[in-house]
Amino acid sequence: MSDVLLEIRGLRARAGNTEILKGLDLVVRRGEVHAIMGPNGAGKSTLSQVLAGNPAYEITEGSITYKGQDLLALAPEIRAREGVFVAFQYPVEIPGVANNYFLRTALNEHRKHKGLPELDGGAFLKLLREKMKSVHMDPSLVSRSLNEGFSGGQKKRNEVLQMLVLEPELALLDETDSGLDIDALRDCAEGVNTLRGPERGFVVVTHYQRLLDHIVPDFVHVLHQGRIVKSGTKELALELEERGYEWLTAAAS
Amino acid sequence: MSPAQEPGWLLGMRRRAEKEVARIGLPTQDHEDWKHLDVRELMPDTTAVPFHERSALAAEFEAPEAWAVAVFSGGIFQPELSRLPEPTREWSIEPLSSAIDARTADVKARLGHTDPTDHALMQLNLERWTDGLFVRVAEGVELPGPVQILDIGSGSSWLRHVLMPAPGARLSVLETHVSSEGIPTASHTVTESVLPVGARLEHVRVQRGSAQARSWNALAVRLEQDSRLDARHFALGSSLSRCELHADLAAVGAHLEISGLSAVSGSDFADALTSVRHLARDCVSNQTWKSLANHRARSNFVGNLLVDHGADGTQAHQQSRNILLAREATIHSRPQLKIWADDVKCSHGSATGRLDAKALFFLRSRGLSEQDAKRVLVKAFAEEVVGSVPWESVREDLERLVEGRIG
Repeated sequence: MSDVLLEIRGLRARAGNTEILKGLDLVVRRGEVHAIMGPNGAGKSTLSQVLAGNPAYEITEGSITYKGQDLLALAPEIRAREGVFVAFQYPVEIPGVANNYFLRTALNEHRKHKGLPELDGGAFLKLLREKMKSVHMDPSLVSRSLNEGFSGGQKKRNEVLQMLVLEPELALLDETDSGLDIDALRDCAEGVNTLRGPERGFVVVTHYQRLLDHIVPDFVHVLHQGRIVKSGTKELALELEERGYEWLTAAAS
Repeated sequence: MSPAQEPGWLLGMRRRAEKEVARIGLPTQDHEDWKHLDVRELMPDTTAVPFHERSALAAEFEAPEAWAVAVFSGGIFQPELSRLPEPTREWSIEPLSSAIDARTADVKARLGHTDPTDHALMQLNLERWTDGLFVRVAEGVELPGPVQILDIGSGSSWLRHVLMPAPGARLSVLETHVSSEGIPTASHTVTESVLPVGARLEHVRVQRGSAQARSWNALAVRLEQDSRLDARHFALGSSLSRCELHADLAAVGAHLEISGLSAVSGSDFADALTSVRHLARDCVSNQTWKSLANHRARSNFVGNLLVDHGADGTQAHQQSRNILLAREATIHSRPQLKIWADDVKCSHGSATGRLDAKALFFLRSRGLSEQDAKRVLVKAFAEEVVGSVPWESVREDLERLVEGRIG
C-alpha cells in the first residue's frame, strides 16, 4: 500500500549483550499519529535510537521498511535526508558548534539531497527566526553552542525547532514531554500539530497521557518487554492513565 | 652583514655561545625535556627556495591586518618583500642586523637576555643567528597594529627576534612560518622579550611549514611587574616541529595566558614544551593546550610549571585536551608541576580521547555526513584556541588549516 510510511516487522535489537526489542511490529501510514506508551525499560528509547540508526544498537532480526526501502541499510544521515527525524529524549550538548550554523548545514544537506538549491545565510536566518517564534524559543539561543547550558525545556524546544526546520515525513518524538512545564509542553505539542498533515506520519513516545491531550493520537500502543502488547485508539491512553500498566504487563509476562 | 663586519662584542658573544654549546652538549633523549625527539632530527639536509616562490609565498601569507611586515627567508631579511614603518621616537622596527649599529646599547642589553640556562639549542641559535627583527616601542605607546614576521623556509635558517617594549608599551606580533611544497627546510627561531612594568605583548605564532619542513622555535619571555603576555601557538604544518615557550613571571602582578593547538596528520610529529616559572608573588598563568592527531601522526606536550619559594598568591592553571582521530595516532601529554610555595591556587588536567560518539551520531541523525560531522566537531574543538586570535584573516586561515589536516 502506497500510504504506508513505516513498517516494522518482528524487530529484535540489542545493546551489548542485552536484548531490548523482542519482536516488535508497527505500521504507520501517512497522516497518522501513533502514540507509544509503556513502563520504564520497555524499549521505547531503543526504538527511537534504532530508527535513527544509532550504531550502538545491533539489529538481530526483523525488518524496517520506510517508504518502500530497507531503512536498516541506510546510514543515519541518509535516513535523515530521506525524511526521518527523531527528537531525542536527552539532546546532546555540543560546545563550540553554533546552533544556527549546525542547523543550516543540516538543512542544506537535506535540500541538496532533494535537488533543491542551498539556502544562503540571510534566507536561512529568516526561516529560523520564524520557526523559533512558533516554539517560543529565546532568540538569544540562536547563535549559542548547541544545547550548551540550555535548560531542559530549551533543549526540547530546540529539538522541536530542528524538526520544524527540517520538515520530516516521519517524526518520532522520544519522551519530548519529560521534564517539561506546561507552557513548554504546549509549545512542543503545537510544533507537532503545525506539521501534522496527510503526507506525514508521527510516532510519539511518552510516559504520560497529558501530552496526548495536546497531540491527539490516532492510535495508541503499549510497549512492554520489547513488544507491543496492546493497541487501540486514543481511549486506550485514558484507560492506561486510570488503570496503570499492570493489567496489561501482568498478562503479557 | 657578514660575521667579519660584526662588532667585537657580538663576535665575542657568538664565541661564548659556541663554547656553551660545547660545554652543555646537544641534548640526548635521556634528557627529560627531549624524551620524544632526537634534536638531530631538527638539522636535516636542506635546499634553498627559488626567489619567485619566495615572493609568491610572501604575497600569499601576508596578513591584511598587519600594520608592518618583515619578511625573512633562509635567515636573511628581504627588504623588497617587507613593509616596515620609518623609525620614530615612539617605535623602531628594523632588522636586528641594522639595529646592532643603530641601537647598539639596546641590542646589547637584550640579546640573549631571557635564554634559559643550560639550553644547548638556544645557545646554538645565539651562536648562529644571521638576522631577525628588532622591535622597540617607547614608554606607554601602543603600536597602531600588529607586526607580522613572515619566515619563508629556505635551507637551514637561524633567526633571532628581539621585542623590546618600554614600560606600559603594547604590541602585537604575528609570526608566520611557511615553506614551499617539495623543498626540504629547517628553521630554528628564537623570539625573546623582556616585558617591563605594565607592558603588554600579544604573540601569535602560526607554524604552517610544508610536509618537507622541520621547525624549531622558542619564545622566551621575562615578565616584570603587572606586565602581560598572551601567547598563542599553532603547530599546523611541518613534518617535524618543536615549539618551546619559556616564561618567567618575575615580579608581582605579572599575567600569562598561553594557548596552543597542534593538528598533525600522516606521519608528522609535533612536539611542544612550555616552561613557566612563577618567581614572584601574586602572578597568574593560564595554559590551554590542545592536540589533534590523525593517521599515524604523533603529538607531544610537556608542561613544566614551577612555583618558586615565596611565590605566594600564585594562580597557575594548566590543561591539556587531546583528540585521537585514528587508531594508530599517538598523543603524549605530561604536566610537570613543582610547587614550593604554600599559599597558591594551582590546577592541571589532561584528557585524551576520541571524538564524542554521541555528538557524532546526533549530527548524522540530522543529516550531516560522517565526514562533515567530524569536521564540525574538530572545528568546535579547535575553536577555543582559534577563536581567541584577534585577526579575522588569520582565524580563517587557521580554520582551513585545521580542516585540511583532518580530511
